[in-house]
Amino acid sequence: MHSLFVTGRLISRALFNGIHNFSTATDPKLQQKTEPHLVSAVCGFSKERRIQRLVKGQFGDDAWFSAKYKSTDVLGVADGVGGWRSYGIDPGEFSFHLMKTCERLVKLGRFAPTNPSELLASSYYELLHNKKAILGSSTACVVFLNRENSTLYTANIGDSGFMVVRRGRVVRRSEEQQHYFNTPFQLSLPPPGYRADVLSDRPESASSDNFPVEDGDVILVATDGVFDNLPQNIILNELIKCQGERCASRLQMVANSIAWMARSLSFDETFISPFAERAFANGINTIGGKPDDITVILATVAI
Amino acid sequence: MPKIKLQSSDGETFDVDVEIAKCSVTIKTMLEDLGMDDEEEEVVPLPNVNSAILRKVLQWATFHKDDPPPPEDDENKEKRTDDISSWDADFLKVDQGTLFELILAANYLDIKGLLDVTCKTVANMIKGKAPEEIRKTFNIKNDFTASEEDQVRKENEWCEEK
Amino acid sequence: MDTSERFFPVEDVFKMQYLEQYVQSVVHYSSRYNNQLNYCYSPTNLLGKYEKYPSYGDFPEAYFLRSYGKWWRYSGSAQKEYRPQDFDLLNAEDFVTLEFGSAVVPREVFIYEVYNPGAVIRIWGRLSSDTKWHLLWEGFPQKCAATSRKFTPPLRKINSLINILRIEFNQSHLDYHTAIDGVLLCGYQPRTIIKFELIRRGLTQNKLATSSNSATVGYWETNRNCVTLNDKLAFDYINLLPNEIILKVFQCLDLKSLSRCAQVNRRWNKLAQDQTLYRNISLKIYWYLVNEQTLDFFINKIQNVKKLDLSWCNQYQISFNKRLDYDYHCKILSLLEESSRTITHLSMNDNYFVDSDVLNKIVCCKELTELRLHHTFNWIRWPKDQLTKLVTLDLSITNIIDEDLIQILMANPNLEHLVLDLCEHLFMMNSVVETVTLFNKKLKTWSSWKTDSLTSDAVRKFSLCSNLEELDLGWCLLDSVPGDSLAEIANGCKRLKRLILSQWRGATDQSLMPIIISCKDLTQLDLIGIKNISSELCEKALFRLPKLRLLDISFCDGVRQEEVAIWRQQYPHITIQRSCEHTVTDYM
Repeated sequence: MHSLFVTGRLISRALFNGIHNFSTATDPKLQQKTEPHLVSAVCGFSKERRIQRLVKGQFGDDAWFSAKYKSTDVLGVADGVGGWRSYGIDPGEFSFHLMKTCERLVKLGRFAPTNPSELLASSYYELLHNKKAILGSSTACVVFLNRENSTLYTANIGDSGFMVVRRGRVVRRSEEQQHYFNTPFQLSLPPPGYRADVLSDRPESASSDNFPVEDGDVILVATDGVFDNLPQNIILNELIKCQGERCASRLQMVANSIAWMARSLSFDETFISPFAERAFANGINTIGGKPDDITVILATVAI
Repeated sequence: MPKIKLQSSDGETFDVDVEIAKCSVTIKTMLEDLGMDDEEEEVVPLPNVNSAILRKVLQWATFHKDDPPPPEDDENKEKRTDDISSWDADFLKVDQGTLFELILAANYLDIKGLLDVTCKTVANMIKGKAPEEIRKTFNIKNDFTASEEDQVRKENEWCEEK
Repeated sequence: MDTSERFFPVEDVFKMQYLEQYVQSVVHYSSRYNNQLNYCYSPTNLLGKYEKYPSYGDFPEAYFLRSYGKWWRYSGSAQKEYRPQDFDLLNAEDFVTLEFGSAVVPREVFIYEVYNPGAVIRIWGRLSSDTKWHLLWEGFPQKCAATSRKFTPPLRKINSLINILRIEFNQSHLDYHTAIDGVLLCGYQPRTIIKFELIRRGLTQNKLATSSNSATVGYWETNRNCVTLNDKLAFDYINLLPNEIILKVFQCLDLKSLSRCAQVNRRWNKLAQDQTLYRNISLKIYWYLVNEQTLDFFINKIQNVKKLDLSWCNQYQISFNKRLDYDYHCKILSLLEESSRTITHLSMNDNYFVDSDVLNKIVCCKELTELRLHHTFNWIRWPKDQLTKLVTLDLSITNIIDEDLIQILMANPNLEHLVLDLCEHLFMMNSVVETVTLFNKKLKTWSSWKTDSLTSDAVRKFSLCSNLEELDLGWCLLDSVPGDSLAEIANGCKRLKRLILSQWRGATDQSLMPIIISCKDLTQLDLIGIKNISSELCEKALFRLPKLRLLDISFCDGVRQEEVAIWRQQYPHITIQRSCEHTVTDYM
């Protein structure tokens, strides 16, 4: 009972924070052919059971952003690596600043519209050269919708990722980059002297991809809190509902349900989650969901 | 304090402390060369300097007697003109005739400090003025022919606003 | 110059559109805090609308000038004026040139200052297809409160179109860096092309004067010590003076006044061209007038020149006419050739025209002891022929590469001051340092701000340069641990006066303590962003270093703000910097 009440409030807060709508399709005055753009919605939960202070762009140690510049729409998520807490470093700071810097660079047009991994590299470089040392590490996934050529450009480092669904089928899905089990590739800024001990992957090791998109395509960009807890078919079923959806609030409802499901399953101790399956394959005997921060960005391509 | 007598071109004698008189390198050299004894009642004639100017020179020298000796003349010497002290500036608020006589006297007597400050004063009278204004200030006759003047103006055009 | 002409602003004559524009592109600048790829503090932050204003603080989203106060002037590597007679009363130290989208007749300029305001001293305007710079405003640096400011000085009214602004700064009175968030140019835009052309050519109504006061009142025109004499002159006393005295007067004059004197009469003309007056030439304050004819004028006078300053002389940098650029470039080459026999000091800071041809001429000037090429970026390779007498070398913000730099260092045993800030093509700094320890034993100043290929091993090697007085290694050891390298330096460089260790994030109390104990001559110590240092270390530094005057502990999280307040009271003669006390929390 208590948890329902709590999550109800969290959802309403998420709703308040999460609606993002680039759509110009509802504007009746627009006569000319609209270029492809994204209609999007965001939802997420921090791993903590209690209500946390909600900051736009952050869910626990996860961070996200969305921005646009001229003919490019950009979405991004980053998952802060929690292990830094034991060093006295807030894991959410790095991911948050990484995403915020990406957002700023996009809004000012300081990026190459076909190269999202370069955007990650630039942001990373900015963090390194900030006077306030922003330490920590995170995964990251950034997608660009280039409206001029209807192409989606993606860059992914680590185990966050994206999925594109078209008319009921998964058209593209990102590959997880792991060094070994539960140790994803990550961008990191360790405290000086720890560089040798800490995993730090260069922005250049992000896997990049690009492919054409069509009207109605559904794009999901999420952190591993979603992919570790929700089996692919459940995700697929939700995304199918959004095929061709142009109404932002309906999109929001689906985003909310994906996030909410991932969250409840993450606390379910008997459920065989995708995470548990992988653990088993790696020789680790465990069952149940994986409690983690959850970030869901859901978008549809509207042409 | 040992004194010395200086005589101007128009016959007036001035009693001056030797130390102050020695700010003039000319006088200093003269004293050393002639081996003049400090106590002797010798009179040093200065035929190129009249009494009014000599009085002014001595006034300057007296005020500046405790100044450190100026550095050797070299290219690194500061030649800015905005560093004239207010006493000197007041001292030099005189008519042009006097000013130039002071320069000539400072040159003849080889008093570096006075020569510097008087030259800087003249420089300040030139700065910021167009050629015709400079001529007016110093009552200089323009002896260029029309074509020469034109040519000279063209040569020196670089510093004028376009 | 008839100032009785009434000035009619052109917007009263034509109907025009009032336009407000932010910066479209940054054309040139003299000061940069960060590397080119970085957006933090970079000049590109001036583009578009301001981001942080009206907040006040140390924001990476603004344009930061690298130097402040008088600290950089105290450095052994600072440039002394080559020709003191040609001085700028307002003493412009840096500039930034900005281009806007549309040409307008300027009426207002807003400069959004978000940190330590008060450094703007001049605003110039120009149309990109024209060569003339209009002085729109100038004034002394301003003492301001510690809040953000929208600076809008009263502009001279002109009837010319401009789309480029140049803003000049004098930061010498500021306590810390100044930062600008944006610039807004407001003015009237002609509505049609015909009107645009009419205004551009100045072909508006007869009554329209081109500006509200015809002469450009330069501050160096006004005579502070001017003697006004009211005597009626019947005689030209000045011509009684012998030539050597007139020359002595001329020696006090700036180059512009000399040229005016040359037009007075024949005698003055001859004297004004005397070679001794042109031993040292500085054209920096005339940057907006210097063109091909100017260089022509000086070529005949510089056979015995010792010092030549051509900094900032980029009149045609925004080149609308390649032919003029080419001619100017040729003249520079001729000028250098003429002076090559005797020249000892050459400065061409921020000069667009320094390229490999110019460098080839420079290395023929074998007597050069001082060479300054700060922010000249049109060259990459240094010529094979070497100078050998260099004492001061400033190659900051250039593209010099390691092997060329090493060759230069090996050839110049007298080198005392070396500035390599923000040189992004130096990847083997360890080898460079090694070369210095072997070949440049007289080195007093080393400055390599933000060259990140330096390691702690190289830092250790500096201990062999026992004459070192200034060491600027800011941002060099971002993510490695200095170990005992500072202890070695403390041991070897006893004369150290200035030590900049910004963002040595791996430094600890232990690594820094030897410096505080041994380097008793330290006057400036910069420890920005070092999280691990404690208040105890800072207190020891304040207490034990008798000559300390500047301590920068901004972003040192181990130190509490309350403690800083106490130290500021205890040590009023020491400037303690804490720029993080101003930073507003981002993004919240």
